[in-house]
Amino acid sequence: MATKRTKQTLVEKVTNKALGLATKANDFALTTTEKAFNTSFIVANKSLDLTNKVIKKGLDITATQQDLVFDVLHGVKKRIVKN
Amino acid sequence: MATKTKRKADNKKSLNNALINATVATINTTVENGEKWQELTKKLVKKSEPVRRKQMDMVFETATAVKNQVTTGKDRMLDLVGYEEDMVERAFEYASNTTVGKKVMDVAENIKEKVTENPMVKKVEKTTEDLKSKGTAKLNDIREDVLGQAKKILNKGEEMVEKALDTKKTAKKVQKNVAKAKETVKATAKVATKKASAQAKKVATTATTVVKDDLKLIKGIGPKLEKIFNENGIETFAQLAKASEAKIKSILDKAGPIFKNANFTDWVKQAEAMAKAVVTSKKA
Repeated sequence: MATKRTKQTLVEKVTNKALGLATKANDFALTTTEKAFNTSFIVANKSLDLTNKVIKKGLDITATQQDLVFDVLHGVKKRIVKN
Repeated sequence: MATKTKRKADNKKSLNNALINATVATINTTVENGEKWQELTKKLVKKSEPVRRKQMDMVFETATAVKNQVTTGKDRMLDLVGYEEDMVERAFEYASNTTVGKKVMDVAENIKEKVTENPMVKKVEKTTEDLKSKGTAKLNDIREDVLGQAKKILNKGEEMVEKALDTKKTAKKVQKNVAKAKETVKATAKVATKKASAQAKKVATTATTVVKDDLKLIKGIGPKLEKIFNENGIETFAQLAKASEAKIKSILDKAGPIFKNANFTDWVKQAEAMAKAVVTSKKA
């Protein structure tokens, strides 16, 4: 009778242990994933800020370059017209 | 033996139950874990939203800045390349005042003179002039021809209109003639009655007065034709109206080639009308 009881509890014990372990592993995976994603979001945000700044500065540079080219061309034109 | 088998069956049952319970517990745990993952995904999607928004803003801001730059560049390029109205003239003056420009102008003038003095060019000019004059002359001829034809057509049309109006006039004339005939008949009748009453005393026998109608009142019958008709026994309108076509035709044939083709159907109609008028006047 005693052997019967031990057999039954063994199945239950194994199942419970296995399930507990699986849950723990899952929770660990969940928290890790969340952390990883949060970090990636922060990094992406920062990189976006940086890219935005770089692009804006680049556009400013191209605008000044364009103005410079046209100013020079205008000056040349004025000189030609004068002559 | 029976107790052994019973025990075995109980064992099996309990084991089976334990396994079922374990399976249910496993399934429940799996579902719970899945739910946890779903929640995490939802959370992460929400967290990623500001990043995506920021990215979109950046793209559109950049595009707008590029567009503005292109627009200003285009305007400045137009301003640079576009020219003022008198700029071409000034450029031409400037170019023609330079030594090279002067030489080019001289060469162009020389070429122009040579071309205009060339006999071939002159010949070509002359032939073109000839062709032009010939063409205009021909055109005028054609125009005159067309105008003449148009005038002819107009005249013909006018004639036709006049004829149409004439037929109306003749109808009126016939009516007038009928009235005149009525009057003459009345007059002649009066005269005849007077003469008859005068002669009645002298002549015992009944006097038969034959009234001779004026056939000239019929349009198309002149004095000559009247005479011919009278000679052939047609002296009144009634006689003419009653006369057969063959008889009138034979009379006209005898009269000569001038009256051979005369249209006498209209005379007959006129004679009928006048005869009726005479009868009514007599009755009156």
